[in-house]
Amino acid sequence: MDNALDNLLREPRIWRAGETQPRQGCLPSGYAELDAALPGGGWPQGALTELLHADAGIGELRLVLPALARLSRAGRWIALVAPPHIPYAPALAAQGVDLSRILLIHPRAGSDTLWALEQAMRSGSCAAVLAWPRKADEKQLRRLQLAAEAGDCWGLLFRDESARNERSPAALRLVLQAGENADTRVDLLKVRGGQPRQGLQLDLNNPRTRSLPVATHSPATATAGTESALPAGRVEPPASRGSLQPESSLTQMRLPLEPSPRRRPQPVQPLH
Amino acid sequence: MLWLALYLPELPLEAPGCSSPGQGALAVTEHQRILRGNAAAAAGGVHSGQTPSEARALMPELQLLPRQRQEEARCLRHLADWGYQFSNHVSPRTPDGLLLEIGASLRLFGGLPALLGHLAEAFDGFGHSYCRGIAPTPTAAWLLARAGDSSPVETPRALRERLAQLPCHVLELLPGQLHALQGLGLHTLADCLQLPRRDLARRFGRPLLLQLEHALGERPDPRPAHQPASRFDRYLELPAEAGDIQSLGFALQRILRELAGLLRAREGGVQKLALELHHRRQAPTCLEIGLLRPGRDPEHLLTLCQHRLEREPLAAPVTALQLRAGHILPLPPEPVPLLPHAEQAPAEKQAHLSERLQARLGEHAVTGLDTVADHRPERAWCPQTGTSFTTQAAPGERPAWLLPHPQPLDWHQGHPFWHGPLRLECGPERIETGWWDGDDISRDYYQARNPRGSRVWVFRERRGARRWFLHGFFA
Repeated sequence: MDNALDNLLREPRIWRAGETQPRQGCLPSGYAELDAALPGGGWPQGALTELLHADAGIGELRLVLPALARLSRAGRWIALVAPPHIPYAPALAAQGVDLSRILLIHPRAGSDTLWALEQAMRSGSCAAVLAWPRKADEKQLRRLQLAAEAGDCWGLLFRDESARNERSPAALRLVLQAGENADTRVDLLKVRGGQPRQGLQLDLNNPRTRSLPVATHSPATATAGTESALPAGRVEPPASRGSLQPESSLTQMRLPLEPSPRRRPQPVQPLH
Repeated sequence: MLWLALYLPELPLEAPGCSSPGQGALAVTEHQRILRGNAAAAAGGVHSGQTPSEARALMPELQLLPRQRQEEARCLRHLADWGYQFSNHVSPRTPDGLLLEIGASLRLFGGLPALLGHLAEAFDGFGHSYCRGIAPTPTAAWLLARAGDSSPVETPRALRERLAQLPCHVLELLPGQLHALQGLGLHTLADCLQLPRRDLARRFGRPLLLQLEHALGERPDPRPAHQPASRFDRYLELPAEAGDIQSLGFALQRILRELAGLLRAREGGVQKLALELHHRRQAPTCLEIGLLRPGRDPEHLLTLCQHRLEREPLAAPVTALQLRAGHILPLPPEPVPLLPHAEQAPAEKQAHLSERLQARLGEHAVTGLDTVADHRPERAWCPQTGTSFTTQAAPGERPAWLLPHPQPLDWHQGHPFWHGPLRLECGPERIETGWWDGDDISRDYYQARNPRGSRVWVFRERRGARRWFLHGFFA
């Protein structure tokens, strides 16, 4: 059983993608399909993740918010460096993010942005750092990757889709596209310790798949780590509303304004 | 009681900031006599007591400075502030000494060698040359320091023996007195002590006898206790003009060490620092440095100051630094970790990060985020943390991105366009409020989707031109 290929594979310089283990721990994303595709069952911590998308509003934040909500309850900060718009506090709070853990950083110049990013990642006091760099070359990204490793920080870079063919040292690279039927299509371009995958369909709009229990008042359940194992069909009412109000008033309040989770949204005619 | 005396023989040279090693020959004069010359001057044969013309004849390039007693006194006062961290009874001995009662601090620092180690480590940073003496009485400690005898005398019993060996010139005498003592054949203190006290007093005056009796502890020797300053204001002239930030570092470090000493002495911290850079021909540049919570770690303060300096280029070369810390806030002593290499507390690390960011990027560049109980979407958030206690859920779904200013949209036959026709999926949610503060709105909000799949939050005015606006993204 000694053929040329086996000999070659025994060579220590040969690196096989499937054999590497993610170095740091993983954080469940809250989307079962995505967790299944990621090695370790979640977002890689202590590394860079690049999210590439062309259009705004296709779910680029909804994809990471369940994980961020969870991190925000663990005590460390979540830093947003140079966000392109206002991160809207009521929406984040409704997703279960502890707003007291959010740090907004607005640098003036591009060089300050990279400096602030590196400081935040390296300090070890941020659990996640989100950034929207206008341009970043490979050298800068490598620096950030090392900083994220040093500070055990989840570095999230949101970049334009045109960066798809650039080289990058990030541990995970995803491309987001809007699919048909309000779905979001996720392509895994690069997965450290796993296989790239194309065409993952995630329903980010429908609360049904938002299966992360976001408990406002009991942080213990938020860190229990069981959310990805929940059945996909279970509806989790957001706890920030449900815990204080009776169930009936909750449904009454929501009905005219929000789509029913079971029903595809139908076009609405504007009022005249 | 155990007293530590620090004798600073070079203070006349060091106080005006002219003791840096690279300088040429320099001497300080007082009353038309050379008081003290630096190393280069001493190598050229200049010594104290010469007239300036004699010294100039020996070294034509010698630079002469008049003595600045005020500067020395100020320097001594700052050192006394700094020394308060080691002792609760600090007494500056004008013009060139400092006395500290360390007997009460020995347990706190873990014994005499540990205390002296801390003190030497902290004192070396200032660049003063000094001699120390340790004895049970302040005068004896002072005499030992002047004699350059740094080994401590810890018991009163050994004191007499050690004092007896000291030469007479360590005593503070009038100019003729030392001569007279030597004329009588009295060279050491032992010789003086052998004489009858009354005769000694009659011949040389009471001050000499008092010095001996104070040194031996036979007569009470009260020392005024220094009260540390309640605010810090230090002006430091740079030895040479500094054109860039790097060359300011040393002076800044020195000034911050002094500040840290005072803060530790007062068990306090600062939250605001004002750093002034003085220029030759311009008004000084004022920089404000703020901390999230009171702190006193000199290394951290130095990082903050440097980041603050990096924010903008220097307006002109700097000739002097001035650091002011207005209000000293109480700060409990740092907890000592049980394990030798314990991690920094996370809260402290977070505060340090945010201070570093603020120092370089500006006060308003780093903020928190919170909700506000208001129905108007643009007012339902604020960039500060901790204003609201209850997070009030908005009645409808809200977008994760909000545009700072609603962006007007084109519309056609009542349907809005944004990168293609928008399909309204959900709504309307009517928001009509705010009449009481003049900023009232009346809008119908819809969730919409364009052909490229972007989910947006749009609204239509219910008054006026009934225009459509884009107000957010369901990102």
